[in-house]
Amino acid sequence: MKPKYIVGIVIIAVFVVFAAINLSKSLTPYVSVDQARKSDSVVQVKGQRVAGSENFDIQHKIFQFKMRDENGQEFDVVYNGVKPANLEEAKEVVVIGRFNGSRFEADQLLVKCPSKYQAEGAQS
Amino acid sequence: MISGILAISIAFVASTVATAAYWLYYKENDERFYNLANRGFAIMGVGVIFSVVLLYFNIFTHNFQLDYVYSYTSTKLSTYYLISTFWAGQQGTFLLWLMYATVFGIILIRTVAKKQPMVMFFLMLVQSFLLLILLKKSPFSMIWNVHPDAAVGMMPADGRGLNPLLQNPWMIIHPPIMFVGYSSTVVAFSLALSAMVTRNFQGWIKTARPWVLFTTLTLGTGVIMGGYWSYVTLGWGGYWAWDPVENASFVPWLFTAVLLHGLVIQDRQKGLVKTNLFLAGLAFISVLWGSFLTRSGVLADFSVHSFAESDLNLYLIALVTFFSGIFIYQYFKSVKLIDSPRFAEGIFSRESFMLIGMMSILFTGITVFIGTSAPIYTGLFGKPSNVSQNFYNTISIPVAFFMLLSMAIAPLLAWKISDFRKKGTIGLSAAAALLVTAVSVALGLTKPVSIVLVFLSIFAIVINSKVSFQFLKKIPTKSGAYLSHVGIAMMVIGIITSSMYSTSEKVTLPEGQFTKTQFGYDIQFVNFVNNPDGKERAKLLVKKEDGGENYVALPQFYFSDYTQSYMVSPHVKVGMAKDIYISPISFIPGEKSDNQQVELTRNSTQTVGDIKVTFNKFDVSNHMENAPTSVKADLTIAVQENSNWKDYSIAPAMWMENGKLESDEAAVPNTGYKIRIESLDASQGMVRLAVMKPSTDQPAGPNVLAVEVSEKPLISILWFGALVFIGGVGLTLADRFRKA
Repeated sequence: MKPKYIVGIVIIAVFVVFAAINLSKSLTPYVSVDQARKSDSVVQVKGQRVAGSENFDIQHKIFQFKMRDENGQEFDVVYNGVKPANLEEAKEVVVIGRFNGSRFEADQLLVKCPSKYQAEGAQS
Repeated sequence: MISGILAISIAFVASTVATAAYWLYYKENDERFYNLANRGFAIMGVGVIFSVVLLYFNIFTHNFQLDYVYSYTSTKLSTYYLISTFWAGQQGTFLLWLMYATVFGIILIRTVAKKQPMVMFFLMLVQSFLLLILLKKSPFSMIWNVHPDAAVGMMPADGRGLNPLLQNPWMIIHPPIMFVGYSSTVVAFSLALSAMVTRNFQGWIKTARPWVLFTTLTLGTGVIMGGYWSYVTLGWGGYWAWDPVENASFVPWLFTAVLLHGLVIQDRQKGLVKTNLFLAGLAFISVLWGSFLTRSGVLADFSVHSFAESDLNLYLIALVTFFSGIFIYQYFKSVKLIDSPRFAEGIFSRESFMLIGMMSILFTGITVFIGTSAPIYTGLFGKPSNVSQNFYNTISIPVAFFMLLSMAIAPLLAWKISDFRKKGTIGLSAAAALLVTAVSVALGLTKPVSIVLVFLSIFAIVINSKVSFQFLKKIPTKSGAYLSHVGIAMMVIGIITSSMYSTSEKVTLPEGQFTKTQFGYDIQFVNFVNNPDGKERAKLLVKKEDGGENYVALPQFYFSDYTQSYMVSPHVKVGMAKDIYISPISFIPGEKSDNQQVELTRNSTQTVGDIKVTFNKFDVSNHMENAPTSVKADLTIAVQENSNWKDYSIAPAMWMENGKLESDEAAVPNTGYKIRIESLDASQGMVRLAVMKPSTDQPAGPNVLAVEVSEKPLISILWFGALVFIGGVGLTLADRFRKA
């Protein structure tokens, strides 16, 4: 075998391993609150905002609110950012982050609004 | 609408007849089959064009009886946006896809179809499948077919309108360009399959090359435009989020770009035969797979983009598996027969370096493909997971390293032989790149990864510019390939500076006051202004602290009835050195509307929040001669303090002034509550009070607009590089026609 091929194969192997490790590290599953509490890695939790629980700290620009996951469990969320304007209208909220103590610290706060692209009720 | 459904049905039948006839012509070599096939194609083409015209006719005449017209348009839309409603829904995009494929078919019939009917066979097979999908999910369904509760024959007064996100000039041109690229991958796919069926593994590449260039150009332009649109309108601060919808067009583009380079090598050295066939299949299958991911609703939980759940899942899965199956079967049947010659000696040949570049792009394509599909296969074994953006960003770094390295070195190497002659040029270019990099480091380029990549990018820019200038003097169109590499390397620089060195700050702006930012300018929120298009904008004054130029920023911030949410669009101050990007995040009204009205008769009590309000009597006072008569409501407020109730007396007043009723607020001691008289009826002894609860989350004060301000250094290089890239690929395509 020519050295060229050996070098090539080694580089490819390194890349594949690199990609695989990276993939397994960055998988962020959807979990329930209970699972999120136990998890050490970043997860996403889907649920609904508890109406009226929002609290925006204008000094620290920290936004807090309560969420209810799909099993009906409530938990506190802190988000180091400004409250998304359309939170009130959101059908669903997805928080990506991890628990720190009793509060879920969200790195990302996704707000899912009704009928983003598809007209409502257009399913046949 | 029966005429439309009929047109698609006829087109479908004609398409299947043509497919079969092209096959028979290939088998029997009987001219009559060829004529039949072309006639079938013509009828299919007329059916598709008729459907396009019919749908547009209904859109422009506002026939809201058609569900598609009702769902995506309204009478309020301007002509331009009515044009873009055509591709607002799935059915329209499939129709667009069909229309493009028809045009490609016409070109193929005029060029290669007679000699290579199998190309048309495969093209028409795909076409038939797409028509079948449109039979299932028709753009011509009537509103009462889709909504069971709608009365037959009803005509809604107006449609639901177009999503405001799509009401943007970019959305008029971005989707059609994207789709032309998307659908053109079918040509290389059909050519490759035909090559395998006919066992002519070399002949197809000459026909394929301009098509592959065309796909690279259009899909690339589409992807870039999508990024630009995202940057200037969505307001989240970036241009690329590795969202499934973005990836679904990015991956086929990467595979096509790899194929393009593979074809160059095959054209010169007859090598990479198997690789190129495989890549042509991979590109098209990734298009189908992307359609499945983004249109079936399987990723609805993982993307803010994806279309809602649809009933096409089965069809889309069938589409992917059917064509993957055909391709894989043909590929493994052919691979044994292919004798791909060795095409390069040693490492320092141009081919070897091109291969490094190709492999890095291929690797990116495959990993993005795998990453985007993560929810599917992780869902098979447990909780569906997606991958975070970090995955893609991390992968990109080593890939960019190898890609840039190969882009820089390859143009200086000779074809076929390993001969490293131009060491001098490399040395000089490296020295120049090093110098520029050193200056950049002095200007603040600090992160090691970025330093290495910027160095390599400049290195690649210097060498490719040099080569393209040499060609510009001789055969200008030949410079395109090198020019496109200059563009790519510039884009890499722009991406690095604008992402790794972007700084942003969230600031809250009280109305009417300047607020300091970390960037050396103060911002004031003036008010909301109405725009002629009905979309409100926040007016902001941006003042340089050192007395430089001031400007007014007008980012969009308005409530959309369509999406039932606030729509945000940033203000981007474009500059050579940096963009200043201001995006509204939230508006906090100063006066809390959180108040409650209570009606009380004399000596009655009501509980409001955690206080008890008792109305005792009215006090009519007239202390001073010229002061207006005022009425005070004598109230007793019970407040709970340390589990005991304590009473306080307060007396908010109401008076007449200049013919208008005025009232004041009386604060309840030791609480945040305030009480004002809303109205009163002295004869009935009744008062209506407004009780303002203490606002827990903010002090009462002016309106506040929260915005995110960010600076994106050198993002101009990204967009300029994109233009250079597009121009370069365009020139290369022109070069093909110069030869033809």
